[in-house]
Amino acid sequence: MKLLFRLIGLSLLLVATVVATAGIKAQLSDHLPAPSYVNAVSYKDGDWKWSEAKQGTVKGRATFSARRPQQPLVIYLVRIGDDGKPTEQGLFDAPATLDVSQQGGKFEPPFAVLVRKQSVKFLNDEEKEISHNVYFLGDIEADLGIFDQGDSREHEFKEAGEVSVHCSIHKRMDAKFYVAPSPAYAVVEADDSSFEIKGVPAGRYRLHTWQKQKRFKDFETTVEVTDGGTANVTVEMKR
Amino acid sequence: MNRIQLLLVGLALTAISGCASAPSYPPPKADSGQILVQLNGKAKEGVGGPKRETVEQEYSRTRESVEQGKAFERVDYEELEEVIVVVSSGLPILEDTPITDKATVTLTVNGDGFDRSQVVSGPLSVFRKVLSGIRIRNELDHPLLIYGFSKDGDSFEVEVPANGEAQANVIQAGIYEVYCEQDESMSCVWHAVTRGKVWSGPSDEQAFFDRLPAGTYEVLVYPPRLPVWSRTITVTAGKRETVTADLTVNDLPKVGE
Repeated sequence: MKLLFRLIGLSLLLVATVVATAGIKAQLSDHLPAPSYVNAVSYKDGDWKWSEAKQGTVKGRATFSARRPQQPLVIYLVRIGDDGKPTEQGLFDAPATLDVSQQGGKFEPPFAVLVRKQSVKFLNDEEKEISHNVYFLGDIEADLGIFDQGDSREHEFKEAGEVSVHCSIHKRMDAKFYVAPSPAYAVVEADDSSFEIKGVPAGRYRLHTWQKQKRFKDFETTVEVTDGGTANVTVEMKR
Repeated sequence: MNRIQLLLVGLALTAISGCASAPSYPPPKADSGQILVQLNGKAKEGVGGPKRETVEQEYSRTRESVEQGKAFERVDYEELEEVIVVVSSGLPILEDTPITDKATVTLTVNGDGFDRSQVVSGPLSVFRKVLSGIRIRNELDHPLLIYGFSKDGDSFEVEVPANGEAQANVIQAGIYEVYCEQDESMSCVWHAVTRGKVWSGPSDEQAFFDRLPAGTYEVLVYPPRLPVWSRTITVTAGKRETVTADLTVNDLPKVGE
């Protein structure tokens, strides 16, 4: 009889332990550490979908008051309300996950423009047994930890902003990302000055610029996008 | 000399060398206080220090590629170079003390680019206007156009003659990204300070600030490629406040580990 009571007692203790562990795990999962969005810009998406919206195009060219650096210039749109402030940006499909190689102690690609809600997969594809670390500084700060050869880490960028990417082990491993608020962006490459942003939901937008190597004051203007229409803009980059 | 005597001599020599290498600072004066910032570089948890055999050396030894090996040069957390410390408040700096030992620093351009990855300049007073400035020395045989922009949109641009120097000043304090028109691979960060005291050096040294009027100060430490460390410190006249700044990624939010 004593043995039976002991067995029941042990079983109850085991059940209580399992329940308590599950509870703690559930609590922990609710409080997983989030990246620090230092200066990142938050946008509301609302419940309307880009795929169901009437769409237009924004196109134009960039002019420069001095020799421009042979570096990318990002032109992006932020949907605004009647008060001129950012409003709901709408629900869009994030682009496919970007794979970033770390082979040879280098991030490849070393620069990328991402879209909010897009993920990046950092692959430790070294040929030797070399560990890497990935951490972000800038508008979004986070540490993805250390991972060995053959492992990878994936991170979804939930907010917009400029992010510098580093490895805390290797002093020359650096990269830079710009996370655009939505897919309504264009990259003006070094050998070109024209741009075109297609499939923009009709509405009122604020056009902004971001320079990888800043030499000019950033440009802003308001753009109206109409169903099937094309809004022409000259982006004037001045010092 | 027996073993005990040898041990005692060794201990004495160790103590003497320890005292000789420890920096000494003047005691605080009665009308002002001091801040001593001890810099403590810490490698990420779980990673050994740079002294163990590195992949970089392995590459160099096996001659697979010395150049490839350079990509694996490890961060030396025991001696981080070019750490910048800024102490600022709304209080006036006492007039009988230099604002900084290096109110104007020199940034040199040679065949390898800028000679440092980040510089700091303290306040300069020119015609009653407070500025912050750096000298730029060009050691190349052709003129250079050096320019920079801060996040707040303030900018500067200066032409530096071949084998010559030029002064770059800014009115607005800020962190400026500095580039060169002739070589876009060059870049540097300039911390321009117009109110406060500045210090720059390796992490195995300490940043010492003297003659600070009693009050509250913000201490900002900018290690290269690492998160900024900051503290608010209250300084009392006649006292020294000592703080340790951990220079590390360990305090960043850990995501996905």
